[in-house]
Amino acid sequence: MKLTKTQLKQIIKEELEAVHEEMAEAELQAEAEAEQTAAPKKFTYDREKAVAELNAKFAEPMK
Amino acid sequence: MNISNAVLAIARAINVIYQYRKDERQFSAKRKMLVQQFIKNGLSSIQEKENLANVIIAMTLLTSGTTELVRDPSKFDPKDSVENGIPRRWAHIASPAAIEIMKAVGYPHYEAINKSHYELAKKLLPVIGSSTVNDKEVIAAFSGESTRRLAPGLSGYAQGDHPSLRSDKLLYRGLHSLSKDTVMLMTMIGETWDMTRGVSTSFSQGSAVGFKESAKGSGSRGLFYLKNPRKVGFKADQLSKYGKENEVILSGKIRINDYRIRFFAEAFIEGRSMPKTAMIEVSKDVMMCRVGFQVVINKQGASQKERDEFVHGILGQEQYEYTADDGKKYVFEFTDRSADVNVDATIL
Repeated sequence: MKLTKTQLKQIIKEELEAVHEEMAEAELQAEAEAEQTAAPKKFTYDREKAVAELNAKFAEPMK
Repeated sequence: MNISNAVLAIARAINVIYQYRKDERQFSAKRKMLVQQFIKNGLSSIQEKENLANVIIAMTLLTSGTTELVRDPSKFDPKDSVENGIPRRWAHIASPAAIEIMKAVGYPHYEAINKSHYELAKKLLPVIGSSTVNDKEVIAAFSGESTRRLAPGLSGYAQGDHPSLRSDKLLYRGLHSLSKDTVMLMTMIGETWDMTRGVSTSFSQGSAVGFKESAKGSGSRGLFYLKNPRKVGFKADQLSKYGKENEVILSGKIRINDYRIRFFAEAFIEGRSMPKTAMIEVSKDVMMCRVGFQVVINKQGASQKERDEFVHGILGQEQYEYTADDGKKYVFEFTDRSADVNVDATIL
């Protein structure tokens, strides 16, 4: 099948758009990943438990 | 419940009497007479004498009673309050000074300890723990003629700079068997918490350190340096059965100013196949990590944010990744129960 010039232009345009979209998606994903790696991970601790333990320990005589 | 300055000053003065020539048995009879004289001269009303007895009861139950019952007197069960098969009495847990005070104010010291005593302690400890005593008022108690007659050297002794007499600008508290959560709290600069129900501290650093070191291996340990600008606290010291601990009952809000911590961690170091045991030390001067004899991280003058992130990262995460200034990567895993933390705090 022989394609006209206009048809060829349209196919190339669509292909290029698809490639651009893919590249943009990959870029976004890479940025998100980098952001996640760079952000300090949240530490966890139970403050309520720690205060209760500290108060109980302070109440113990040092004998 | 209000306790007058006169009551607190007499309790402090009697503490000094029990420190003075404390190893001399031949002074024991004179000491008892001095206690009676001090109470007679210093406390005029029956109410004040009753209050002195109440203070001694509360102090004795915190320092040598059952800590859990001081917190929750409803758990008191006479069946558990037994000593050698008989109901526990004051003579079982009180110091000679406490018994002498009880006798001098006419308190029935021979009675068994009961729930109402613990209820009283729970009410009174926050009051005496946040009290202040004017040192001059204590010294004045030693100026009487009867004191000079009974113990000529005591007035001069009371003029000296004795820790048993003066109010404390700095208190200490040793802790052991601490969980990781509590160690974490102790490294939160600016954190405050309420300790207003009356707790046990010491004016002797040695006592606090001794207690901290007394249970090695059972958990993380800590030592609080408690700045006390308002000089609050009730000096139990020689009035308690454990005079060597130099205890001060304290009640107040505590704020953490700074910390210094040392702990162990498993370190996975970039370029090495096997993890190694690392010893990590962090203070405001340095962030240091040693592996064997080698210092692998040695950072001077790190910001508070940086050292907090490092410490909290290792304590608060299963695995903490750290990139040193030279670009080398480390992964640390905290070794449970290994921390030793010194805390600089203020009693607000």
